[in-house]
Amino acid sequence: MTGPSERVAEGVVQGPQGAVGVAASRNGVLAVLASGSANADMDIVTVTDEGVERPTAIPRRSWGDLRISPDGR
Amino acid sequence: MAGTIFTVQGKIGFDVWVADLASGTTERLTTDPMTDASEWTRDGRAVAYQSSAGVRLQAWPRSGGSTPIADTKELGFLSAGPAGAYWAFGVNADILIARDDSLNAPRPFIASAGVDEGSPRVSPDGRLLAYVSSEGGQLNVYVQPIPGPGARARVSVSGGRDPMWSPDGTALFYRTLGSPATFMRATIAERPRLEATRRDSLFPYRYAGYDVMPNGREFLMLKATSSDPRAGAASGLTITTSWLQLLARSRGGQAGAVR
Repeated sequence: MTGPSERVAEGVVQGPQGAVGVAASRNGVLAVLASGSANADMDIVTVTDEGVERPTAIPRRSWGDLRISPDGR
Repeated sequence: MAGTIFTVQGKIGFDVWVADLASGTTERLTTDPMTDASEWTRDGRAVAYQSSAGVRLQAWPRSGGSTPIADTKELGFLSAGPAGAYWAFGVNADILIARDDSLNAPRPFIASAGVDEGSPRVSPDGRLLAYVSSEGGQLNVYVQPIPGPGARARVSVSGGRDPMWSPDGTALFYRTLGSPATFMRATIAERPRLEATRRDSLFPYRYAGYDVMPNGREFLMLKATSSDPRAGAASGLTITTSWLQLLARSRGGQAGAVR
C-alpha cells in the first residue's frame, strides 16, 4: 500500500513489547483492540491486597506507566 | 526527596516525572520527546530511561544532565538488576540481558522465533527473571534463572501479563487476560525446583498499570477517571469491514466504523 497516512483508529492495545492490537486483511477488514486509556486522565490510587482503594495526593493527569522508588516514597 | 516516577504521554513519546506520594508534588525529570521505558536504579539514586539517543541515566534529585549507558534505541521495557547482577531489556519481541558493568553489550536471553516475549522483570536478588511469552498462542507469565542455566517455570495458568515481583522476591503479581481481569499473586519457590506453588486471586483488575509498594501488600495503581469518556471504552474490539473504503472516504472528509 502506498500513499499518505491517515488516522483510522485510536487507543490501540499494545502487546508485551509494544506490538499493537491491529489486524488488517486485504479484503478490507480491520480489527482494532482498543485499550480506552491512551492519553486518558488517570488518578493514582493505592489498593490493598483485599482490593480496598484509597486516593493519593498526586494530581490527576494523563499519567502513563509508573514505578515506585525503592524507598516507597 | 525520593518519589514515584511516572511517564506522561507526549506528542511522540513520553516524559518522565517524579511525584512525591506524601505531598503530591511533581517534578519533570526528562525533556527528551522520545522518552520511553523508564526504571529506578535499585539504589533509588537515578532513573534509567530510553531516549532518542539511547538509554540514559538521570540522577535524582536532579543534578546536571543525563549520561548515556547503552546505545539501543528500541527498548520496550527496561528492568534494572541489583549491583553486580544483570539488567534486562525488552527489544522488539525478544529479551536481552547485560551485566550492570557492560550495559552497552546486551545479548539475547529469550528470543524464540515466531514468539513474542516481553515485560522482563529482574527479581530483587537478581537471580530470576519474570517475563511474558506468547508461546502456544496465549500470553502467559514465566520465570527463569538469569543468566541460567535452569529450566523456566510457568506462573500463570490460563493467560497472564504484566508481572511484578514482591519486594522480598517470594511472589509474583500479575493480571489475567480478558475483561474483567483478575489481579493475581503467585508464590514462587526455587527448591526443590523452580515453580509457582500457589496462586491467589486478589481482586478485579480495573487499572491501567501498577507497581508493588515496599510492604508487598499494597499497590499503586493507575486508574482511568470515570469523567473521561475514553475510560468507559476499555478493552473493546472494533471490527471494521470495509476499512479500505473508509480510508478512501476519509480522505474526502467522511469516516466511520462498525462496532
